[in-house]
Amino acid sequence: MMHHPSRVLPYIPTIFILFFSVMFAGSLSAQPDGEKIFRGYCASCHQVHKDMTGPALAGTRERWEDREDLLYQWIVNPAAVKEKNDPYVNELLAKWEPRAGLMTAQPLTTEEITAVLDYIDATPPPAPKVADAPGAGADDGRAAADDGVPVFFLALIGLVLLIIILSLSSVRRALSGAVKERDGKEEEESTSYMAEIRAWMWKNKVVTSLIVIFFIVMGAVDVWDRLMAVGVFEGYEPEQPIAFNHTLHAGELEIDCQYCHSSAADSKHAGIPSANVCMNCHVAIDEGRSEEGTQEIAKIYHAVGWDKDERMYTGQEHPIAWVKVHNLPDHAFFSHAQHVSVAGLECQTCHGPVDEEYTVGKQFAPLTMGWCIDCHNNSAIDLNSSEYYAEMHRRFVEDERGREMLKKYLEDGSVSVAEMGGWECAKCHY
Amino acid sequence: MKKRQYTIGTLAAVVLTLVVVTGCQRDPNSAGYEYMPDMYRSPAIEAYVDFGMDPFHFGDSLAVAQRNTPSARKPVEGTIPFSFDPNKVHLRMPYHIPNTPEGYEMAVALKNPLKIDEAALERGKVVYDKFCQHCHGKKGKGDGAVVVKGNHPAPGAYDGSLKDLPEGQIFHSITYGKGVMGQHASQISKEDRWKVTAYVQKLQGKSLGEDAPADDTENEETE
Repeated sequence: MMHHPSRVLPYIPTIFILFFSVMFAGSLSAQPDGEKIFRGYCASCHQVHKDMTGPALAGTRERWEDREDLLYQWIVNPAAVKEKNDPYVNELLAKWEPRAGLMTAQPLTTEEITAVLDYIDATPPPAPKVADAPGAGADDGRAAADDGVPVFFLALIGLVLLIIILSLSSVRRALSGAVKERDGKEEEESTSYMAEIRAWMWKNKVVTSLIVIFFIVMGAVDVWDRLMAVGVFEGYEPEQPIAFNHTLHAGELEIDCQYCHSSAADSKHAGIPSANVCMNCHVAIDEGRSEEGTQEIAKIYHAVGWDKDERMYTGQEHPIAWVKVHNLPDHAFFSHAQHVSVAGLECQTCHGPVDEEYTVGKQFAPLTMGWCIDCHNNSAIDLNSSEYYAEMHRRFVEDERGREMLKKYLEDGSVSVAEMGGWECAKCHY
Repeated sequence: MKKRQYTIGTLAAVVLTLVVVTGCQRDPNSAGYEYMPDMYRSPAIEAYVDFGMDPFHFGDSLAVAQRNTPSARKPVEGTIPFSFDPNKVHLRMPYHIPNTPEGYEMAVALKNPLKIDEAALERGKVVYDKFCQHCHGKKGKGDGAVVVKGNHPAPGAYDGSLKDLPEGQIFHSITYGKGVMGQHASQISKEDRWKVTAYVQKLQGKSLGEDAPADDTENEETE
């Protein structure tokens, strides 16, 4: 079907613009993007201005000046260039091959290599870091959590106010005494505080008894709370040797909790990662976002014996003495594997929003027996989720009494952990 | 003089009250009161429990000595983990190729000893999501959160510079690390490393069973 010319005409400029912009974009993408190629192919081992797994690349062109052809060959096929026995290449290999092995061959074209070299030449050295980098200070959260000082100041203010009240009232008493003396009245005997208070109490019996009852009840509640807190360590947050930032690692960088606590899926213990797990990333990431962060990373290097400048292990290890936070009593059994792998619980259910709220290690849950059995009572089990529960189900259905029990369990629509034996004493205490 | 005595008495009471109120702040480095320490602390050895904290049971010198001994340690070299399944014993044996540039070349010939089916790939994905995706990205394009949000060096993409990496070298790299990537042998079991290798091959664009399936009965670790 043909359009009437007058209907098509107004669109012609738009069509032209579209056509040329597509052409232009095409010619741009034909020019290889050095930065993109650098990030995709080189950046996993090289940085421009800093040695990493491989040497820093700044000044590569000058260093290979007489042998630029060889440089291009080297990038595409290092093994072949190694055979050629060039003195500069041999020097490089002597320094870097023992640490990192021979460079991996990169499937790049000559134009792409030129683009990368241009990108390297055009990249300026990083500006020296400003000390007060915004945000991400390792101490931010801890400063906010420290509320010991305000209480002390409140007490001090209270003391000052009390002294003022006492001195004012003594002034008042002295004045009224003076007035009485001037009027020629005899000074009353009961001018002491206690006598005055006693007289007042005698006059206002109801108010007095209410105040007394209030203080007795408050005291009883306080004593009760303190007794109930014995052995409950909710909110316990001891100082740790390294101010590890869970929010940054598990939150922003989206590293799975089980990357570091990898035994949580198969063992009773979630496990404290050994320093080699830190080094999986921190062998390359040696600077934090703030001065404090860099200092904390340096503590890992001290612990694991890593020489940051030589990029080698020294063998001088100093174990990190982490402080255990969750101290479940020995008479209660708990297995992480059961809760992580079988129940499929999120870590945050019991450990709180560590990925959102800064803490190295803080006890979020009360870990009381009431807390345990409450969850066991309220959590439903999918009987198809494992062979064990499937077998339980089979045995229930086979038997007349079992069928009745299962029917009773299903009255609320689901089978809870407690109904599958999660409230048996010997499940946790044996 | 009676009046003065009362004033001093009142002041003393006020100060005492303040001391009691402010003195009850909890030391952040102390968990609090324990009910019965002898039931809280196991006399048998437990991982991560600091027995050095309880000199009451073990005596001062032993407590101090234990506090200075790390509880988490490497197993003796060559330790083989116990296996319930006799068919999987070969997966518990130590990896025979050394962590050297020559070893990396040797790994080219290494083949997956497992039969890779859908279930194995599914397990491979679980392992990948836990241990790989924060750098390599959900689809293996080298665009994980550590790279994108953390602005740290990017690994090669599985459909880019790492497209033709053979399975043996993938396994070798997970075991010993490669470039900036560290060793993951302490976190991922050998069986899971092979399964995640198969999943990485899927991300490379290889379909299931494209490589010659390994012989099930004869394991090549014993070469």
